[in-house]
Amino acid sequence: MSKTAVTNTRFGPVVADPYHWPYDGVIDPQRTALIMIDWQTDFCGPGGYVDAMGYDLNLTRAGLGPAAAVLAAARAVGMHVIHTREGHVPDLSDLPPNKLWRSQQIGAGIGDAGPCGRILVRGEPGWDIVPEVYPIAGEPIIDKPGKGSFYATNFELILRNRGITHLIFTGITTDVCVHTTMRDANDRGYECLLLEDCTGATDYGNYLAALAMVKMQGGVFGAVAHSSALLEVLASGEQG
Amino acid sequence: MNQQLTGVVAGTTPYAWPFDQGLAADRVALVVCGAGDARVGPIAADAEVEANIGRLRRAAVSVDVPVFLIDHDLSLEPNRRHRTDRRLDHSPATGHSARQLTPAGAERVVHAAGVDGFFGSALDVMLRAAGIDELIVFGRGFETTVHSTIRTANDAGYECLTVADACLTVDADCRSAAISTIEMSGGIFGAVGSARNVVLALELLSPVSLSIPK
Repeated sequence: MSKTAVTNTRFGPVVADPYHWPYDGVIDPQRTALIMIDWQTDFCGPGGYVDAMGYDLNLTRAGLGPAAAVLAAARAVGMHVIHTREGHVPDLSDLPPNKLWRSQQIGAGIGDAGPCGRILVRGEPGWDIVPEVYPIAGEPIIDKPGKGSFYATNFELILRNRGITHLIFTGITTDVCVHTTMRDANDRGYECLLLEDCTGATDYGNYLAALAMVKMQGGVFGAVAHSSALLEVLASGEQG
Repeated sequence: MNQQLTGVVAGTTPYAWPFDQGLAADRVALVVCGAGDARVGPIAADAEVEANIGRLRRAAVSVDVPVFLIDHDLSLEPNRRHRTDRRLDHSPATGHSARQLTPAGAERVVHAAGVDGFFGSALDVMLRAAGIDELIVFGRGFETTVHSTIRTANDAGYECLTVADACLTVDADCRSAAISTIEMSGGIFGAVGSARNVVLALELLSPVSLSIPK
C-alpha cells in the first residue's frame, strides 16, 4: 500500500484507559507520530549498558516484538515515525559529572569500553538501534544526551515543522526515558498514548507503576492502550 | 553526626548525597513542587507530610538557603482542559490555601506552565544565576509534579535529592515505585532522603549572608 493512497484516511478512536484516545476523537496519520524510544543495544541487548548493570534483558526486550508490529502498521498507513537514541558525544562534553559518577558506581561507566564498544557513546555498536525496529529513510532520529527527548535536542522543532500534535509511544525504559518524554510532551500540549505491551522497564513493579501514573487523575499524562486496540483501528480506517 | 560535617545529608539512598560531598549553602536550594492552589489534581491530605514540608522550609529560611515555591498553572492546553474538566466533575478541588504560597525570607514563588516546574517557568535561569546546582525537591504530587521536575533537573545536570517523607502521593500505591524509580541504575534521578536528615544537614550550613561582605 502506498502512502499516497492513504493520505486522507483517518482512524480512531482507540480503546484506551482512562479515556478513549485521542481526546479529540480522530487519529490523523499526518498529525500523528509513532515515537520509538531508545530501542538500542545499550538498553535491550547483550553487552550493553543495561546488561552491564546486571538487569534482566528479558524485561526490556519484552515489548520489542509488539513494537515492531506497530511500526510496520504505522508505516503502512503513512503515519510519521520518529526514533530516539540516548548517547553522548565521544569526548563526553555533554555528560553531566553526576551522571558519569553514578554510572561508574554501578559498574557501567559511561564512555568505558564494553563488549559493544564504549557505553552510551554515539557511533558505538551498543548505541545503535536493534535490527527489529531499525529506522528507514525519511524517519528522523533524535539523538539526546538525557532521559527526556526534548532536552537539548531538535525534537520539538521537528514535531512543529511536520505539524505533529499527537504522539504514540513505544520503547524503553517505561519508567525512565519513555515516562520523561511523555511527561514533557504532555506539558507541551501533545496528546499522548502509551502502548503498554510495547514497553518495558528494568524493574517490573516500576513498569506497572509507570502505567498507573499515566492514567491517574483522568489521564494526567495521557492514556494507555494495548497495541492490539491500535492495530485494530488502523486496519479499519475510514476515508476522511 | 560526622556525616553532615563532610558535606552530605545523612542516610540518603542509593548513595550519600550529593555525589561530590559538596553540600554548601551557596550551591543548594529547596524546590517545593505543587506549592500553590494549582490544578495538580486531588491529593489526599497527610498531616505528617505537610509538617515535614513546613520543617524543611523553615530550616532553609533560617540559614538563608533559597526556597522556590512552584505554582503550576495547568489550564492552558486544550487536551489538558478536556481531561481536567472531566476530572473535576467527579472529584473535589485540592483546597490548598493561598497561605501556603506566602513566601518568607529567601522564599520566592515561581509560576510554571506544566506539571514540570521547569516548563514555562524562570526556575532554570534563576537557579543558574544564583550558582545553584544542588536541588532538594519535595511537595504535593510525588508521582506528578515532583517526578517531572527532578527528571528535567537531572537531564540538565542538577544534583537532586528527593525528600520522600515530604512528598504527598496522588496514589499511595505508587509511593514505593516513585522511590525505586529514582534509585534504580545507581540513582538514575539522584538520591532519596528523609526530612529529618535534610533539616539536620541544613542547620549545619552557615548562612550565606554571613560570608558575603557588605
